[in-house]
Formats: sequence, structure tokens, C-alpha cells
Amino acid sequence: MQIIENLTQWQSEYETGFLADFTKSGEVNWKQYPKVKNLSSPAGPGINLSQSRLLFVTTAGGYLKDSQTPFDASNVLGDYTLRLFPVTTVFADIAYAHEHYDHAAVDEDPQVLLPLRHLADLAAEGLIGALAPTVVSFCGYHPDVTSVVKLTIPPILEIARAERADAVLLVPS
Amino acid sequence: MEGFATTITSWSASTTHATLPPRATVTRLNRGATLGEPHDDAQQRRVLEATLALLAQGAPVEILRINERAEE
Repeated sequence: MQIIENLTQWQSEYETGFLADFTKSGEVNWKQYPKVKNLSSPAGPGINLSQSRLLFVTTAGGYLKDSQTPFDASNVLGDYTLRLFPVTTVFADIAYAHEHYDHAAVDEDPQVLLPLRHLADLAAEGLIGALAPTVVSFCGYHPDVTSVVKLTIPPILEIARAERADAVLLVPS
Repeated sequence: MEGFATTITSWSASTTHATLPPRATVTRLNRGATLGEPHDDAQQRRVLEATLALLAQGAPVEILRINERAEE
């Protein structure tokens, strides 16, 4: 099962349309952008979350402001790298590098995008068996979905395996 | 993701229906506040719990619209 169906065709349309136009003009023209359209959804068994380990993944662009490099949020072609930090991180240590959403809500209450305390509560209450110790964070502005498939997802899978996760919760921004 | 049960919540119904993730909830909340209004812990928990509850089901699961919206 492919994450993106017809990825080769998508890449061709992206390169010859959106990317070629941007390279020539220096301007982003979203009318040229080929939107992803899947026709089917991946299959897989359900789990008993109370007996499982959950990995949290966020696209909010969060990073540890005193020790990590911010995402290249102003790059109109996207930043496909990850930042990792402990699920126990205090919110005061996290900043957000992402230019495609209004930060007012997350600045007021980080749990609108990073529900770290809610997840800890749900684990303490037994709804979640355990939390994977690491939060996976990226800046979810990714025009090049081929780069997402080749650069962003493989290290997330490695982390999920290394931390023996059974399930993944993704909260986009 | 291969070998892992995944679930997502989104304020973007159109993107969710276009990409067809294995399990998803969709709300009428706002970009930048995916789980709910700031300091509305009850709303944030409702969205989270509805999204996590989908993990019990084998995928694919029909996209679940939940009645959570941003304040006017």
C-alpha cells in the first residue's frame, strides 16, 4: 500500500508545473500545484490502546528553543527535517517555527496543538497504555510530497520502531 | 504507517477526504487550534479521545466528523 498513490505521476506534475513555474518566476503559484488524491486507504488491524504504546507526532513546527535549530519555516519549498524532544518537555522550552498558521492560539495554550499534558493524563488514567518517550516534530508545510515520503517518513518509522510504539497519533497544525 | 496503527484529527475535511488516512476525525475547528479553543481542556480532550478511540477499529475507518467547532 502506497502512502501516496501514483507518486511518480504526481512528481512529474509537480516538477513540470508548480516547481518549474516557481524556478522561472520566483513566485509561488498555487494554481499550478497538483493536489494529492488517494482513492483508497491503508488497511490494518485495530489495537487495544490501553495495552499499547502511543507515539505522538506534531506538524506545528515545535522545537527546543535553547538547544535546537528552528525549522527553515520561510523556505517556500519546505523543510523536511525532524526535531525530537521528550514527551515530558515543559511548554516553556518549546518554540514554533512555522509560517502557515496563526500562532496566537498555541502561544496562549500549547495544548491546542501539542496535547502533552492531556496525553500524560490519559496515560495516567489508563486509556493509553504508555506514551513513547519522544515527540516527533516537523514543520508541516511540505509542498513536495515525494520528499515527505523519502525524507520525513522513514526516520519517523525508525523512531516508532526504536521506541516500540504500537500506534501513532498525528496532530496537524 | 507501515506496521503501526495511526490516527489523525484535522480541521480540513477536504484534505482529509483527498488523502484518505486509515483513521481520522474531522472538526470545524480552526487552523492553528486543531484540538480546540485555548484553555478549553474539555473540548481538547473530547477531540483527542474521539480520535484515539478510532485506534480500536481495524482500518480503514470511515472518516468521522465530530461536532466540535470554534467559537464565533
